[in-house]
Amino acid sequence: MRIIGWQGFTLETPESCDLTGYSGDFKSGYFRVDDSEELSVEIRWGTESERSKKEPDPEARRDTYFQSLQKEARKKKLSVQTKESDAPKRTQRPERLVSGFTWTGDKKAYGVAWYCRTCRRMTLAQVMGPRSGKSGIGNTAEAILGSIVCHSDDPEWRVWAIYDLQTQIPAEYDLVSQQLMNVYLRLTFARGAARLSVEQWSLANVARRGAYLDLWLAANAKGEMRQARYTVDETETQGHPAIALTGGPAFGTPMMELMKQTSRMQMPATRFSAQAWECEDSNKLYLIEGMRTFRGRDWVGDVVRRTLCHTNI
Amino acid sequence: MIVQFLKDRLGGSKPKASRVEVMAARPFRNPAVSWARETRDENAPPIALLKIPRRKDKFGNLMAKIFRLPEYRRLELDEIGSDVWELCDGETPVESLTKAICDRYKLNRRQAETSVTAYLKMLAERNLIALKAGQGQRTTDARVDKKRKSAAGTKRHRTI
Repeated sequence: MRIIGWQGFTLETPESCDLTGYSGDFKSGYFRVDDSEELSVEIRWGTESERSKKEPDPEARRDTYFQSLQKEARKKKLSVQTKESDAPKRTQRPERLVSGFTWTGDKKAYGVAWYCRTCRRMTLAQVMGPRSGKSGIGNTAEAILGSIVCHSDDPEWRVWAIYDLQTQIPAEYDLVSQQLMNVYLRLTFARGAARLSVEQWSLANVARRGAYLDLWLAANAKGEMRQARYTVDETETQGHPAIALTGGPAFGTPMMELMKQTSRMQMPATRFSAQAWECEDSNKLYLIEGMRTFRGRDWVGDVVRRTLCHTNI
Repeated sequence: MIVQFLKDRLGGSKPKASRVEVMAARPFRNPAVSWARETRDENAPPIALLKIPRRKDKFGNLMAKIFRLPEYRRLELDEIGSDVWELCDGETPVESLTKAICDRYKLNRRQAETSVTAYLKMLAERNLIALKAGQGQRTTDARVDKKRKSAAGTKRHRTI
């Protein structure tokens, strides 16, 4: 099974599945996971305001979804049969109000809508697959829906797991930009002026080809490292020889950015730290980098410890 | 009907192959292209060096005369490209080829599939390879057939 982690949600999917679409942020958004054939998982969510005293009704959410499905089907001149059903047992948790459903149109889908009292998110998750076939998706759907977690057990950290990258980022940081390419991944998170990025390159042996790691990164990194001047020290990470970088913002544009932050009455991010290593077992290069304020906590070391490289392969 | 006729004539309607068909297809090298592995960098494994003959039709001959084009063009493939090229033997289906690249470079299946299929498409567009339909599949589509014919006869080759 593969773990997918996105915006506080984690789920277990078959090995062939991966993230194929996303939008929104932690408060409200959408993501989709597909295998290369017909199975797909969709999760949509929205966060209830802390002011509202009444708990939202997942059945009402489900009915709204049914209406939008019918409307879409009418446009496409398809017929859709929607049905209320019992939610799988593993989705029924004490902190959740749950409502299950299925629908059949050009595909067959099993879904659950729930409201979680802990993270205050209303979630609608569904697993879609072929309408017919010798192997129905019922059991797979139940397993996937049952594995979905909408908030992490450790409230300080969120799991981010896509493709071959699995890491944890402090919950106070929000995803602000990402680059998800075939052999290169970058996730950048921000909290005020502070930034935290995780970069991963595949095909390390071909890409780096014996070059010094710091020089190679200086030419290829796209996160905070591009905007920093730093000193390099040798260290060890997860059993691999690694480099640790410490410094501050580079002259020129990064300095201008500092002035902008100050003018916005933000504490400027003046401390840079990073760690990078090559994992030969997984043939990947990792770079965890952060720019923080003078008094801000340096999360880089913690994120490095929570990033899996060869251990998950 | 007229639109369909024009589309067919102008090559507008390209038949699409499903993922299963593509994965079962067996790519084979253009026999007119000669190749060998050569060491370029001591630290790197030998790479494939292709010798591609120029067009031998009337237009090609005329252009060659005017611009004094060489008989062959050389093309160097990178390390991964060389491995893919070597596996285009007409026997190995795309699926096995992808798996071999997966294992050799420790990529996940999706990464390898995306890279390998894009690379094979690029090679096919340059008439360096063609695809045979996999066993037990319906006959090859027109585009594949065209490429196969093109790969089999040197007269039809275009220089890159």
